[in-house]
Amino acid sequence: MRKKIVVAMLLAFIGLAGVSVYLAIPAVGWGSAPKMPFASVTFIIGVMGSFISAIVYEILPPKIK
Amino acid sequence: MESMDISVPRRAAYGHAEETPYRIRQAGVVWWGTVIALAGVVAFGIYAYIQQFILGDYVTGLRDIGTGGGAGWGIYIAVLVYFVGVSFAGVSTAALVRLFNLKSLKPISRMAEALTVFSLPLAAIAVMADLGQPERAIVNLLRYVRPQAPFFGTFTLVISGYLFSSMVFLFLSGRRDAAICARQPSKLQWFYKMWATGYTDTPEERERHEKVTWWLSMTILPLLVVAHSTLGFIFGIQGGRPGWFSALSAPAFVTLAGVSGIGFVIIIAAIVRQTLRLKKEINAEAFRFLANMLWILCAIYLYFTVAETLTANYAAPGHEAAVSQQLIGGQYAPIFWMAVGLLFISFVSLLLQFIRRSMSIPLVVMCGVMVNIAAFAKRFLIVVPSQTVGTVLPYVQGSYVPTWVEWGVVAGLFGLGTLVYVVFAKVFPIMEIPEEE
Repeated sequence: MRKKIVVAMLLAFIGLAGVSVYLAIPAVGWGSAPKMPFASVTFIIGVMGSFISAIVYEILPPKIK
Repeated sequence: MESMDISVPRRAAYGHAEETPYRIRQAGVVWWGTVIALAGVVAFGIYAYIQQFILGDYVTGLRDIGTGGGAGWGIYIAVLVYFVGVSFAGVSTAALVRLFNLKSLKPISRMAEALTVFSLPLAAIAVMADLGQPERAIVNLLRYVRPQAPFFGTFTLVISGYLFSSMVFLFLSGRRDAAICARQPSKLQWFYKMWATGYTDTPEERERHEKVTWWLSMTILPLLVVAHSTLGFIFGIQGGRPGWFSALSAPAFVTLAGVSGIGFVIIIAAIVRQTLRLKKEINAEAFRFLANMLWILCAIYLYFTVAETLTANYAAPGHEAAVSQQLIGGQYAPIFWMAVGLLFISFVSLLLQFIRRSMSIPLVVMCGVMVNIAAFAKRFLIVVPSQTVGTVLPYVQGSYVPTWVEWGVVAGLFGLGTLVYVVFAKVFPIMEIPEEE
């Protein structure tokens, strides 16, 4: 159960980071603004969340009732 | 290995029940004196920054490139790069210990992790100090930074990836010791219990911990190479800035980061060994390994320096050659040759020690100090000369001399880092508590 939660978290946060990189790339032209403002924030959250998965794996009990 | 019963106070491996591991929570006159002195340095740094904030960046030595006859990036950016470099060896040492089971380096693992965690925020503060309106930077950087900019990688990967993963690493590796410290009633018991998060030292927990830290180490090492490389690319891909535009920028950044970081770890290990009387725990083997890594990295960096200098002076375009000539024979020559000399002396000393199979900890520490002075000087030489000389546009040669305000802020940053480290070492065991007999 713990493994499933951690894998799900990891995939979700890595996915968030990947999508954020795509959204951070400008829609038009090299020097224009990102597609979504503050895309870098969601990228940071995605990367940090991936590492939080490590904490969750270590702290969570193996079987969650 | 029987599991710990943290609800019942027991004699700890470090001796009598009233004793604390590595003298945590036992602050004497010397410690308080050190803290007060460091707080004074930090206060001076804050005062200097307030002067800059109120009066404007004119009180610094920073000026517009070309039209202002100066450099827009100065000592603050050099300090940023220096602190990010120092943080390199911190968590990489801890990661290598876990991946390759380097028993001789295990005692210094936590010191190294703490170095990374405390030096990276100092780098971020150095950038903020460089900005005229830091609050705009915090909002607009987050809002507009794009992956095409190397600063995206530095800003996001260094902060979210590198710093955060190092904090996670330190947190997870400290849980066992936090659980041990939580056994003793004290004012900080709540803090230790919070850090321990229910750790009970069962075999299953230990196995899980080994697995997690192994995978964290595998992730952190390539991450920090990428993060440091993006920092190098900030300079290296600027085609319009002779002296910066170089394919060697990223690898040289990573290498010099290793040099300064390992040097700093050596210094910290020696200080902890001396002040806490841990000569048996932090023995010559740890210093021998670090010394060998240091001379190898010094050799690689000196090779990069020779390659760059030779290329720039042999057949490089005029502007590139102008920058290089200012470094080796012009206004920056004293700093350049001092840095190269210190790196060379350290390389030769440690190589001779390796060849003779001898070991002198004072020599290794001296080399650690020298390479850090050299690394700081080199960071200055990376940042400033390309702005004051050899510019592509027809400006006259400029100059940059930091003012007392900048030196004050820099001193405050070093003081802050040292203060936080000293307090951390008094609050939490700076080394892993040994297994109970």
